[in-house]
Amino acid sequence: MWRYIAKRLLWLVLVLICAAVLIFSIMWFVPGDPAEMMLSGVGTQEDIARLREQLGLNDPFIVQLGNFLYNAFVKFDFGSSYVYKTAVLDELALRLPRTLKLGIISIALSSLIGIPLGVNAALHRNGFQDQGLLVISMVFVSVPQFWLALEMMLLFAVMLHWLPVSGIGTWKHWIMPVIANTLGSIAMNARQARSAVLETSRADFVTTARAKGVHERDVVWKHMIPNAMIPVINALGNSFTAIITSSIVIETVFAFPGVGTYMMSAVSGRDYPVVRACVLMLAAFAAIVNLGVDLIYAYLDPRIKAQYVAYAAKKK
Amino acid sequence: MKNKTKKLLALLLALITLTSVFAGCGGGNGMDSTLSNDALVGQNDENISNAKETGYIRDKITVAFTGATSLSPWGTSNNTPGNYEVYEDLFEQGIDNVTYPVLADATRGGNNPAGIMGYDHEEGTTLYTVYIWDYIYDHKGNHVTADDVKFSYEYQLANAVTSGWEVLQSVEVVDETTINFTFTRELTGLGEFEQIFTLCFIVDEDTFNNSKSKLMVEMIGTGPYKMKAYVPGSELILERNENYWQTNEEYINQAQKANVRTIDYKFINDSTTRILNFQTGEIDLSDDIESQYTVDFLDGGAYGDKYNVFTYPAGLIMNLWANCHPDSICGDVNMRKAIFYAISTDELVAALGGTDEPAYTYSNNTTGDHNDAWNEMENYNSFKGTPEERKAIVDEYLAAAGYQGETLRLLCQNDMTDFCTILVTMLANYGINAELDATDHAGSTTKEKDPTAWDLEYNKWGGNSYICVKWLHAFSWGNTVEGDHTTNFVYNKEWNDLLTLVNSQEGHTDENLTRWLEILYENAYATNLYNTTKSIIYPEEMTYMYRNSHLIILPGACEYADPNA
Repeated sequence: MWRYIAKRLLWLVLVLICAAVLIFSIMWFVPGDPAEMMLSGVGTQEDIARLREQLGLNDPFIVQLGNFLYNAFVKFDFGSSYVYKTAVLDELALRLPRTLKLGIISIALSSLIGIPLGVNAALHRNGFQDQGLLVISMVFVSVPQFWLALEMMLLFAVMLHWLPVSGIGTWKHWIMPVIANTLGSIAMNARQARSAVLETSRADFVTTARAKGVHERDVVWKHMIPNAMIPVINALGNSFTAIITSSIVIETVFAFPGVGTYMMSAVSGRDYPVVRACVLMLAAFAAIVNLGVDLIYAYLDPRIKAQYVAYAAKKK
Repeated sequence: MKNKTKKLLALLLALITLTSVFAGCGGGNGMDSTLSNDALVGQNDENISNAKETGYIRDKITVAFTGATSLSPWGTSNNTPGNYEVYEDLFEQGIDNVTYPVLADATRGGNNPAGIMGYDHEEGTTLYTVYIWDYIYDHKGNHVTADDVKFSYEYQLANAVTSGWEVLQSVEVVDETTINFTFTRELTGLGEFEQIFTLCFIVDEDTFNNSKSKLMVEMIGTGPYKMKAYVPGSELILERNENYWQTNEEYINQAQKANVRTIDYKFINDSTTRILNFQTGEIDLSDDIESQYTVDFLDGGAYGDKYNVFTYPAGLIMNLWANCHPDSICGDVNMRKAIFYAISTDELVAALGGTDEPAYTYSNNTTGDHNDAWNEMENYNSFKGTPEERKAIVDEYLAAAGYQGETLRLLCQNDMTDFCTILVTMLANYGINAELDATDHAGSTTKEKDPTAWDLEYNKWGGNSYICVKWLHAFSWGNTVEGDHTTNFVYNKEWNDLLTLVNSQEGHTDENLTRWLEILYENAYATNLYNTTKSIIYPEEMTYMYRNSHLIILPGACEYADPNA
């Protein structure tokens, strides 16, 4: 198992290098000159040329790429933002914990609420719990996040004065971003859990357990739910990655200073160091979450773990 | 379906609908504009322009700010919130274009053509001798001397983005309070003196070297405010500097006043979020609000008792360029005139909701050198005929150009596609086919270099108090790598020389400015589409608003009435 983990970590490095080359090349070929953007309307061609030289933008593609890869993977230095002037890593160190905190609270809530709701709906198939869940989840899956966020602001901040509109000053500032970030995910997880439990309820081993006279409670908790959780865990992993990588919308609407807003302004301003670092960081995050999901799979399903062990033994 | 389930679903749907309607009611606040531009402008608080010292010190003001990037004091296009309250320049320029000394000693110098105290300069020479006060201390208590002035200028020149500083040759310290600035030539261009002497914050060298972040995430200057807290991307809190170095009231300018104890800058980019923050009372002041959002804050509006609105021309030239390169379909002057006559500024403003102002000339009245008579010059920009008359003129020019229905490519930035769609429709009404080529800012600056990639371009120019400088930004040959044409491929040397002339102190005459405009219209190089307006929402208690020459509001320098008086 440890060999498997080590191997996956090595793959992770390879994935990150590929992501780095890809994002560097994309930013290189996308039209737009950072120096022109920074001096637009205030600088002459001489000013722009001087700035291009200062930023190292006149070097050939391969030289710039080599410098970037060396600095990022050997020195762990992503340079300084063209716009913010500060080291990108320092800024990410400030912003990433906020985005992660928002994402972790959201995914925890969506799991704790969504999965039980889905399981409950499946166990009461066609009952009011099931019908209600289907309608509500359809609403929240369909509603755009930004609209939900604005409506919440109007209701809870402007009309009821219960919560502040935006910012991150106190715990109250976190409530609306978390809810707006979570509702869609709760709906998705609930629907996923419902489908998985319904699928499992028709499996042969469940029929066998019932035929053997196992108490229905044990059928559900010992046979159905653990098996139904495998696809749910996969969906949770995807949800977590999606929540973090799509945080731009929520962060912009709630003036939340996280990675999303940082990256958004960097893309439009051609702030190459920031875009590269954010994309790499998000790629690493997605790869780590996927690795985590695979390991949880193995923990939950002995068949998968046995496959890993058998593969490792065969290699020996 | 069972009755019980049906009832439950019905109840649920009703609840959702009710919630949406309930929340949607709030959505109407501030989002719908039913007032005309006149009504908006008319309800500005007139007192806001009358400086009147109240002597009242407000406890706190919360300001929404959009573009917070870095706290760095360096660079000539610095727009960091609070920088103008924490740091100080040798001189400052007010919104009225009057230059006055700040760190420069107002009791010395004055021997210069402009008669400004604080420096000496003999006409025809390249030497400028600046004197500073001998009792300047920064927030760390460090004594700021001529060495720090030299350090600040040299550091900014070497390490930051500076514009127009290529003429600066050397900065030499004469004694603790005297500095000699030598230039490669005399500063005779319009605004050149200010470009050098009002755009470099003076930082104590020891303070800078002792700062771990090199003042990137902290602010230590000499100004009437000092930094209390900073959360990158979220908030900057300034507090009154109780040990401000300038204690002589006679020499404290309005910009140096500290009429608020705490200034809390909140960084909110989204305009809707800013409006909602006003509605909940979480922010007190914000600039750069689009006028259509201000209805609820005017007198009689839902929040009119707490706030006032100041609407002002934003000073932008909303520009439509024709690609004048011979290879472009717009290389023919008749084609360009047909296009520009097909666009009615009045109709454009109406289509945009009526909160902006029509533009009848390639200028606007926010600049000191604007001449209202230009609005009356006979050309496509000022044309006010009926649609039929307009159509006849367009047809005539199209026929002269031999137009066969070719499709023009209109280059515009993504955020302006709605507006450009109106332009395309307007052209189509007169039989001119056009299609949008929308890209981001960076994309359009790249594409515009290729004369075969576009025919028309929509963009905007602003940010200076002289119209001729805006023209220079837009049409300088220096904007192109080849240096022999403008960005829209105008190779007219006479026009370019005239542009250089009107941007010099001796050539900046109404006659020259008018002649430059005449050439623009004779050759139909560009047209001004409309003049934008912006609004400031400010607290009811503010009796005077101070904005510097960069149009940045200094909340501490504003005057406030005592709400309990």
